[in-house]
Amino acid sequence: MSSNETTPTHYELLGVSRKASGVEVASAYRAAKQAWDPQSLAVYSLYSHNELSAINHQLDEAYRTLSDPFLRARYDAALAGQEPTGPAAMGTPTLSEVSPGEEQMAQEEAPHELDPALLEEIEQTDCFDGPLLARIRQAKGISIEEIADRTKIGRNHLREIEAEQFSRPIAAVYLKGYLKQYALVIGLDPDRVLSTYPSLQNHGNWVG
Amino acid sequence: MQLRQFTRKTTQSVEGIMVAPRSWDEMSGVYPNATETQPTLLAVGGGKGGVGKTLVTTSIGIAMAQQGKRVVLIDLDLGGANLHSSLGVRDSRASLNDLFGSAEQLGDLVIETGIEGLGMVSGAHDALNIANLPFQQKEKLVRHLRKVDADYVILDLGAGTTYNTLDFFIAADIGIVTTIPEPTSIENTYCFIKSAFFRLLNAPGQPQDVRQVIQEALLRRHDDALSIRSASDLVREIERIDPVYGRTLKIRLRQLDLRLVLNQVLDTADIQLGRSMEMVTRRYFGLEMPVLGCILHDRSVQRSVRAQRPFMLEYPNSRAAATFEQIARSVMQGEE
Repeated sequence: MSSNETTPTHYELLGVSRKASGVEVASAYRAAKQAWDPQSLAVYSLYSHNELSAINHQLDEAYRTLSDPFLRARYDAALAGQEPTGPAAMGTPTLSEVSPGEEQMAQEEAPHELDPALLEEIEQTDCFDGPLLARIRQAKGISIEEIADRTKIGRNHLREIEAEQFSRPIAAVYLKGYLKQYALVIGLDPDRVLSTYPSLQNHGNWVG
Repeated sequence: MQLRQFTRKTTQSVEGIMVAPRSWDEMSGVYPNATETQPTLLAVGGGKGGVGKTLVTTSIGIAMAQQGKRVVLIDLDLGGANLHSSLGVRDSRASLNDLFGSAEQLGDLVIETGIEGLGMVSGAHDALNIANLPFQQKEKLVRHLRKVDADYVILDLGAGTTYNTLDFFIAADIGIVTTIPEPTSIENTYCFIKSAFFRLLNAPGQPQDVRQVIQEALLRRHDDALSIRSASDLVREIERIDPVYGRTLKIRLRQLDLRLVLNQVLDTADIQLGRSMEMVTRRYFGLEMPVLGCILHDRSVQRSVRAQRPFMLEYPNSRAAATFEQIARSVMQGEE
């Protein structure tokens, strides 16, 4: 059996449709990582340690691709045209496979590879505080200005979110809305961020 | 007797079981032209003992009866029957064993439970060797399950993976897999699903090369050098070797209409476990096993068992009882 016959697509791996939103992808990734965690009861007795490592690697790769709009678009294009091709077309395309024009765009827009230690921290953390959000954003090569442009949230608000120091009280409902959009842009599961961001824990109607 | 006052449902689709391969058709007595009203068969299994199969059987049955359905519970824990004790039924005049003796119909063995709409076939006083039911008697029993005059027939299966238990589970329209959040139980649960899966794959009439692949997979341990790493890989491999036979197998596997009930749940992590098992089963077996419900751990269950009173009647306002009601509604909505 050739390997590509049994290699599911990134979408199949995460159990989401090809139209899945960023939130759905993030949520599916988190659920899948829980399911195939080597300590998870759900995989007890079914898989060997090596098989679980391989599956987790596949899940990480799927999430890395699908959580990034640029890589996802490239992957979708590869999927659409890859019917008879091998595993290379199923993964993230390399720069050598793209045209010169696309190469320039890729160099400008391709996000930075995340350090495995940071990836691990993202998976394990139960506290997405401001400094961690800032580190993730920077590691992904996303500027405050870019988030501001995409979300229409003021730069000052974004900096205050990362510093967790608010110059004046902000309604919790607004802060949640800002955080949700911020999390989506940097490819995090908004539910996890909202439920663990320190300033939103045990708060009243206002924060700061 | 209350059960005899039931009126039959007018129609009931048998499409879900018309796709069965010939050998299973013969065993279940179901044919494409069947038009008789038939009950929906639910089987409650799961491999491990003590995980609450009988609790799930009685509680769903009572919940369905309370919602106006005609339900018959059948104790198919051959050699370890105790459904009657869970329901507090002491009437043991008729039991399953009589089907292989004086009784003409399984329906003749249905006894009252004292709960309106709910009858049962007891396994009390069965012959000591009933666990080793010969094939012909099993065939007769499965054929008669479809003839019981009820809306739902719920089979309370025993622990383990004997062919009899697996065949009753496979013969049902819906297989309710019951487990608890403990490694031993999860291991037995997957072993049970795997056994049912291979029982279906191993039907007679396989091409030689397909049989060889299946036998190799059966003997397989965790070996990363093998390309067949899961049950769904095996089906894909069979499809590659013999596309026609592979399609037949896929249709046969659709008979495993699984649902998961997670019992003795303590916290949200346990609830997440149900969803995780659903995902893992989809990937490993290529089978859907949606979570029917998560039953909170409740000491009242033990108290009701000791009192030989059904939990649903003793503690009708408990959260566990509410979950069983929801599970019953969910099954009934899926069938209507």
